[in-house]
Amino acid sequence: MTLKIDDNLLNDVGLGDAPEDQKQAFVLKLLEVLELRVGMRLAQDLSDEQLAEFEKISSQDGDPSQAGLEWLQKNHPNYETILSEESEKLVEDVKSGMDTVFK
Amino acid sequence: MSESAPTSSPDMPPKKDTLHVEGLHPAMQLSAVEELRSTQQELENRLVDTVDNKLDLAARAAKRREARAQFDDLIKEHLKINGITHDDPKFDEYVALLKDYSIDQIPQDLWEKGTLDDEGNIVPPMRLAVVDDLRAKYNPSSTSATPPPDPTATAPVAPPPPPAPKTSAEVKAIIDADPTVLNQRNLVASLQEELADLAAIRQGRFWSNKDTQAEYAQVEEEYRDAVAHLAKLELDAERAAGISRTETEERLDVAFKLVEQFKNLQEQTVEKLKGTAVGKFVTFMTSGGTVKRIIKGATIGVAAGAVGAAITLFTGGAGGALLAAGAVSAAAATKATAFARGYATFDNRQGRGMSVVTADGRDSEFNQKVLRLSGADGQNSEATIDLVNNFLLNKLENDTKVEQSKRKKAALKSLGAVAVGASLVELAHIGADIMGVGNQSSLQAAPHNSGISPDTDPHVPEGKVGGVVEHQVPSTPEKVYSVDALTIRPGEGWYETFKSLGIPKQEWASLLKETGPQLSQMQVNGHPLAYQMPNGQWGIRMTPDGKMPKEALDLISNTHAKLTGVPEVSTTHVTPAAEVTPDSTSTTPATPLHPAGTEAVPTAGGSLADAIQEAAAPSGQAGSITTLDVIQPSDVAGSAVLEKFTHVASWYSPDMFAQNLGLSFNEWNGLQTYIIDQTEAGNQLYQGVFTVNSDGDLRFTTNRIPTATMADILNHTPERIRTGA
Repeated sequence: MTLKIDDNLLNDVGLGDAPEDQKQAFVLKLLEVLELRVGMRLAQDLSDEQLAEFEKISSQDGDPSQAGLEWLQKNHPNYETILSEESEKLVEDVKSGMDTVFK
Repeated sequence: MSESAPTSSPDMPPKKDTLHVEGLHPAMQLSAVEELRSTQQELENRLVDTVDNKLDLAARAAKRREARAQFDDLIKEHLKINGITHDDPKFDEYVALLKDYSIDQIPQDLWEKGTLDDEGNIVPPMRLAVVDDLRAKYNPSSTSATPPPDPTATAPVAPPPPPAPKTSAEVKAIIDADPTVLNQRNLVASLQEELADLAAIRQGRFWSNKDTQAEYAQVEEEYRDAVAHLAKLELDAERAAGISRTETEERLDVAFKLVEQFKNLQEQTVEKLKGTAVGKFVTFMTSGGTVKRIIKGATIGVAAGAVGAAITLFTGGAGGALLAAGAVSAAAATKATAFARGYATFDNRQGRGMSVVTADGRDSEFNQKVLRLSGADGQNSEATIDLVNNFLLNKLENDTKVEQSKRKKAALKSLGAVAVGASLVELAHIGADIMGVGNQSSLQAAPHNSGISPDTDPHVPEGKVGGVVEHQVPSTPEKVYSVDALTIRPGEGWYETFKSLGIPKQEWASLLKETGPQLSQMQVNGHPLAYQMPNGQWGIRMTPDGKMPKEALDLISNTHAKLTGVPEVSTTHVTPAAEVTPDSTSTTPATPLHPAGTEAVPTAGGSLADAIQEAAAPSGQAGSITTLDVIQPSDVAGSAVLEKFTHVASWYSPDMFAQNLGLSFNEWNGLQTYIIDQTEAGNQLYQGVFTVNSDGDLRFTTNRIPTATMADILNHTPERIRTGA
């Protein structure tokens, strides 16, 4: 499943004719919500020790995002499925009403 | 070749060591004590340096404690080397004294340099206090200026009159010289540092750690006892010194001292939080402009390989190109705001997740509130100490839990961001196709309505919307100083002025040494602006109107620039509105403001500044900074452009509002902190307009910002926003 933020989705939520800055704000919010939802789902499957390890990785010198991703691939190889599921759910939520997304 | 010149002539008598205490054993002389401290410091440094990860505060604290556990042995060894063994009658006494003089009791900066207390009074270096202490103990005649009593004198006929009540300064001087109080203060300072370390570790963690919690509980208990003991010691000393005050005043004094102590603990904790794990990750992900952020996201995606375009952001048709470009910016900006909302907002707020103590005096509202909420109202001072102390430490514990909760949410977001970031490559690719990322000339173009602040490298989709690259022509900078810097408050010193100018604390002493003599040459109404105190420090002579001359601030600013090599004190000046010229290298049209078919949205930069100037100075004074001092609600209502800013869509985020104002990330953090503070403080202007949710996020609760609120917000935006400079 793909989270496709296109004109159709924007039209569905009544933003088809909105000013560009509002469209951007919408996209921005959507991704923010998705990040949190995916993070929460991933954390449910991880132990405290694993999460502590993630904490350590994020304190490494240099670019921690690369190491973070490698860690994620190793510790939660199924993360893409979760990302996909949450993307699908988010689209459904958006279409059913923004309040459930942005509350 | 000749030897280097001797420091003193052999004909001259040896210079007397003024810090030598006659009759005192060499092992206890200042030089020997300092040698011991040096050994202690070396041991501590050696052990702490064995911790590989410099950010692992817990491990470093553990090593520090390990070193300090060996101090007793070092002290005994020191005495033994100097010929004092266990069977010496003075052995235990010396051990006890040397423990008090150890580096864990008296930090090196206090030992060497002394400090300024909260009222700006100089607390002398502790090494001198130690010499006085030793003299008092082992050679009292050398310090006593009072002649011995005459046994032949006749008794006075009448009892002497009661001593006049001492002033608070006199009482303070007596207490500050009390070695018992000083020792206890040092113990509190040491425990405070340790507790701040642990509080920072706890607040800085994504996830709780039982070991740290147990250690924290133990140190907190020690700190609680030490603070209470110090407060009682000081109370007793104040009473003994004959301080004159009512019971209520005494209770308020007691509470305020504890509040001040707590404030220090909070500040130390916040300071130690800098550079912790979460902070570092967030800093990385939120640093740089939009392009850099995209690259960071793209890097993750590339590493992930083909993720299968789990997220695809695009729009169809010609009209969608702008959104695609915007979406890239927004998606990248999301990484910033995701953290900013959950973490960085608090990270940058004073005190982060902690509700910061704002007491600024004994009678302050906060101080009274603490007395009331702690149940100390009407209690005696001794009970007040325990109640207030417990109340404040419980508050720290609550703050820690709140902060942990916020960080946990931020951590979850960061975890999700890593996963989502893997897909950002799709965005970057789409954006790259449209925008030609890598084409430097296009990267420099800036759409006026991108909604992205000027410091985030916005792009323009070629042929869809153009932008004018605005180059500010440098003009002679006129420094405009903050009201704080231009105002002299009673009792204020030059350090407060330096602070108002944004000069880092560590540069104050050298700067004052350099500028003091020059400032003393500056005269206001026939009096020098600076005067030298008996201790050699420079003070401010209050001017008749309480204003600090701008020339003095210029002198300080320029001298600071020379000393540090930094051109100017960056936060204290603005330049007059600069001319704007089209970029000769830009291939985009010169004046397109909005894409066809889109609403003209008020944007950052010139239009807002112009509107403000027009509204604030309708009589042709636009451009004068003076006219922009205060924007009135009527100015907002009277300007179509300003009024437009007051309309906010439902679900519109304050972040986007800030971007439309043209605020940079850091500027928005500053303004957001102000708005959150006003909202939480119940300022009527902000009630019903904003709310701060349980996560600490700022939200609109209306679609229309009242003009009075808008005016207040604009009055708290940086000068450059209002002037367009």
